[in-house]
Parts: sequence; structure tokens; C-alpha cells
Amino acid sequence: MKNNKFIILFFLIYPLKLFSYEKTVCIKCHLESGDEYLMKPVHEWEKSIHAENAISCHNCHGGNPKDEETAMSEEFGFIGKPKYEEIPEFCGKCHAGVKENYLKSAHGQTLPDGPNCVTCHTAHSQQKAGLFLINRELCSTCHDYERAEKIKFALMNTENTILKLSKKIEELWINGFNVDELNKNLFATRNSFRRLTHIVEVDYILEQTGGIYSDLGKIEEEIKKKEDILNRRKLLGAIVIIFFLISAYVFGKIYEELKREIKS
Amino acid sequence: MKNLFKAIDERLKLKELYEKYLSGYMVPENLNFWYSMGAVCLTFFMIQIVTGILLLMYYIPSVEKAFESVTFITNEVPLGWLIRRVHAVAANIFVLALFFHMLSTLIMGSYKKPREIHWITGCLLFALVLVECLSGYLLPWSQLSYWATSVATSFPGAFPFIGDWLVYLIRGGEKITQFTLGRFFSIHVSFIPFTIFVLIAIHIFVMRRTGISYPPGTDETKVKKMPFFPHFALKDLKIIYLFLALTLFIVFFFPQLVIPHDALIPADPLSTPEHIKPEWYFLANYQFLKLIPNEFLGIFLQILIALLIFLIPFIDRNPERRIWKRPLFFGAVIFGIAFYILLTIWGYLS
Repeated sequence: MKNNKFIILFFLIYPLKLFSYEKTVCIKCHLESGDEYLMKPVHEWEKSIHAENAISCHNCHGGNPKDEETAMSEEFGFIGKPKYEEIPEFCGKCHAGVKENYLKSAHGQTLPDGPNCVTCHTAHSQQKAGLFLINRELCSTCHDYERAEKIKFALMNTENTILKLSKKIEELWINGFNVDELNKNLFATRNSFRRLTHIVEVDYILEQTGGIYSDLGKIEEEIKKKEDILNRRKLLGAIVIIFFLISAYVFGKIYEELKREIKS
Repeated sequence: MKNLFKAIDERLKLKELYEKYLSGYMVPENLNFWYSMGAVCLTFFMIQIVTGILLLMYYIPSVEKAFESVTFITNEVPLGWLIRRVHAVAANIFVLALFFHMLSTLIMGSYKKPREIHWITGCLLFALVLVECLSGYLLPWSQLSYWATSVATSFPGAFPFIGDWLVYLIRGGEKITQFTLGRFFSIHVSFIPFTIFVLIAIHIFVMRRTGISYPPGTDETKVKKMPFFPHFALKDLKIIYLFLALTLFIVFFFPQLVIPHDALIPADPLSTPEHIKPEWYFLANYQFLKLIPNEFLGIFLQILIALLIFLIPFIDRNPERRIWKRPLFFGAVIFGIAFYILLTIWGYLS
């Protein structure tokens, strides 16, 4: 059930890809302004995971991306720059599960003064989330790294399994398999897992990873079935190729024999 | 069974046909490897027809459904993945065999009198196969299809006065749309295959009328002859099977050579892939166009070179076929091949 939310989110976000690299009025005005302060967010966003997935300015800040007049109109839901304490709500519009866990966590409990989404992920140049975000330099800006390191260690195996499965799915995709279902399931499981990161509580994380492992196990089973098909195909291919090569050799030998007969 | 065959033969005289056109048809016994390239091309044309017909049973020529239908063929239809891959890989091997066939004909001077019609029909066949490949490229409606077609169909725009009209005519509009897919589908599955079939028939007919050319430097009065069937047919089969083995090697182990990443993503007119390059057989032409500062001049020069090659039997009237006795021609061929390979590698790396 918890996964359904992410599957719905996936399908809500995916069509946005259609608008990828569309020069909205937000981007045009900010870039054409020539003002470094206004241009900076666009340049940062261009390198972000949001840009990669075609999540543009208006998807977070609201407004009409197609019309200069109403681009910053409240009627079109323009929010502008949120206040510090509003940021979890701002990001949580899409990352609902993460927001929920974050608010329950020690980080969330310290609001409005404590760390929020942009403290770790930055405001516009968000990179693909990963365990690299839990590091001594970043965590030590607020507290000791020890506790964070324990959490990172607890999450490491699952993260590696997800990465491994993700590579295997890509390999199957390259080989022409339809991996939409596998990708959807891994996307949902990965989100459940990444939500855990925001709880910042070692015991809870360890308790929850069991369920995630079971979901990953099911995905791995599906991958294995497809890999078996791929291996069977390769075996069949090798047999047929050897048959053709042997046949070519036999034809050549018979031809030479017949040619010798003519010469003699 | 024997009686049935006898009854049929009594009426159709099949044995007579077999003796006249197969076992009784004599060819020189010193024909080399290159003489089998025609048979290889014919085999691969038939493979394209058979696999193409099978793909047609499930393919939907609509911008909304094309990619989905190809995914369905690859994943749901029994052996659909194999048929699709064989169709895509065999198209490339077909072009490769055609290159070999034309190059050997050129080097051995087999285009000379009385075989000018072979050469002309052969050149037309080659051009048609390339158009067939280009039109087939768009059909899966993937990112690769869409953008490669977009680039390829933009070149006629360089022609003065009629350029824009030509692009409009080819695309069926200003952009690559359903109209482009419709006309490409139509010519890919009907007009071109049918024309290729007719031209192959003429090509083989004139070959049988003039007889196969002897390898250059052969004393035709002294060379022994052998029956086409089963003798030479076995040699053809050997080469055909080697080409089939190569095709299946790519099909089973390296399909991504002909179906790369961008061919697995549905077409998105709003997102241009980073590296759009044409297929290997167009890379040299593409690189040539990039080197010439004026696009029209680039196209014009290529048309001129193609025309020279097309008319070569009428330009080169010297009956000597041994290439080592024709240093100027030999030099031009070596330069042409080296230039083509260099441009292809350059185009691939750039």
C-alpha cells in the first residue's frame, strides 16, 4: 500500500518529461535579465536531478510558465521563494513520504531552527540522492558524525543491492526486454528505502530494512527469470551459429571434392 | 510420391527446367569468393522480405502506437525479439554484402561490355536498398528513428529554389509527423521492395543472357567449366552460411550494435539526444557534408561522384579488365576506398 503512493507519484511526474528542456518564461526572463543573482538559480537547476527529469521552476514555485503576465500570479499558484520553515511543506508537495518521515525525525522536530531539505540537498542544484550525502563534512556542521555514520552503515547494504539491481535492469533493457514493471517496482522500493534515511534513527531503520529486502528479493527474482531467458537465448544462438559454421565447412569440402572430380 | 512427381513433371516439364537452368548451366570453375556476393545479397533480400512480413503482422504505423507495437513484438510475440533483431541486423549485412558485390565488380572490371545493364541495375538496386534502410529506420518511432530521420530529411533543404519544397514533400509537412511515418511506411513495405524485386529479376535475367563474367586475366578457351548446380551452388551456400553465422552472432551477442540506447527510448520531439549520427553506411557521406562549408556544394559533389560511378561503363571503355594493367583506375579505386573508410572512421569518432 505504501508503495502505491510512489507509483502514483512516478506516473504524475513522468509525463512532465514531455516538457523537457522547454524554455519556459521563468527560464527566459531569469536568463535574459543579465542579473547574476537572478541567473544563478537557473544555472544551478540546469545541472540538477530535477532538470534531468524535466521538473521545471513552475512545478515547485507555481505560476504560469507560458505567459509573462501571469508567470508570477498568485491566481496561478505562484509561491515564489518559501520561508525557511515552509521548505519541508514546499518540497513535500511531491516528496510526500520523505516529508512525513522527516517531520517525525529529530531533524524535523527541531524546526524552525533545525536542518531542512535544502540544508543537505541544496535549493536548486539537487543531485541524485545517495548515501554520499551522509558525510562527515556536511553532518558535522550541526553535530557529531558518529551517529550519522552508524545510519550510513545500516543503509549501505540495501543501497548497494539497489544499485546492483538497477544495473541488472539496465542490462536487460539494453538487451531489448521491457523493464517498465521492474523499473516501477524498484523505483517504489527505492523511495520507501530513501524515506527511511530521513527518520535518522538507527534502530527503526534496521527494523524496516527487512521489509525492503523482501521487496528487493521479489524484484531480483523477476530479474533472474529474465536473465535466464537471456542466457537460454545466447545458448541457442551459440548452437545455431556453430551449426551454420559446420555446415559452411561441409559445403566447402563437398565443393572441393566435386571440383577435384572435374579437374581429374 | 514418385508417381506424383512424374505426373507433375509430365505436365510442367520441371526436369527439363532443372537440367537447362541448374545442372546444365555451366560456369567457369575458377570463380573466386567475390562471385558469391550476389547470392549472399539475394539471400539477405529474401530474409528481409520474410522477417518484414512477419513484423507487419503486429506493427502499427501510428506515432502513438508504433513504439509500443515494436515493444510488444520484442517482448510478447513468440520469437518476436528474434525476428525483429534479424530484420535489423540482416539489413546491415545486406548493405555490407552489396558494398562487397559492387566493389568486386568494379575492381574486376565486370561492368564492361556486354555487362553495362548489370551495372546500371545494380547501382539502382544499391540506391534503393539505402532508401529502404532509411525509410525503415523511422518506423520504430524511437528517439534514434525520429532524430536521425529529422537530420537526414533536412539535407535536401540545401537545394536552391526547390529545397524547402523537397523537404516538405519527403516529410509530408514541415516536421517529422504522422504524415512522415505514413509515407515512409508505405514506401518501405510496398513501393521499394516491389521495385527491388523487379530490378533483381532484370539483373539476373541479363546475367543469364550474357553469361557470368570470367575472372580477369582468364583464358576463356582453356578454363574448365562446372555445373552451376550442385557444384557452384555449394560454394555459394558456404559463403551464405558464413554470412548467416556473422548475422546471428550479432543478433544473439551484440544486438546493441544495430539497436543502441536511443533506439529503446520512444521518440520525443522536445528532447534531442546528445549524439545523433547516421548508420555506418551513411557516416562517410555525413562527414563529407560536415567538411564542405557549403551544404549544397557538399550534396552536389556527392551526387556528381555517384553519377560518375553510375556511368562508369560508358566512361571507361578500355576492354582491359586486369586492374594491375590499369594504374590510373587502380589508383582512383584505392584512393576512393581509403577516403571512404577514413571519412567513416572520422564520422564515427567525431
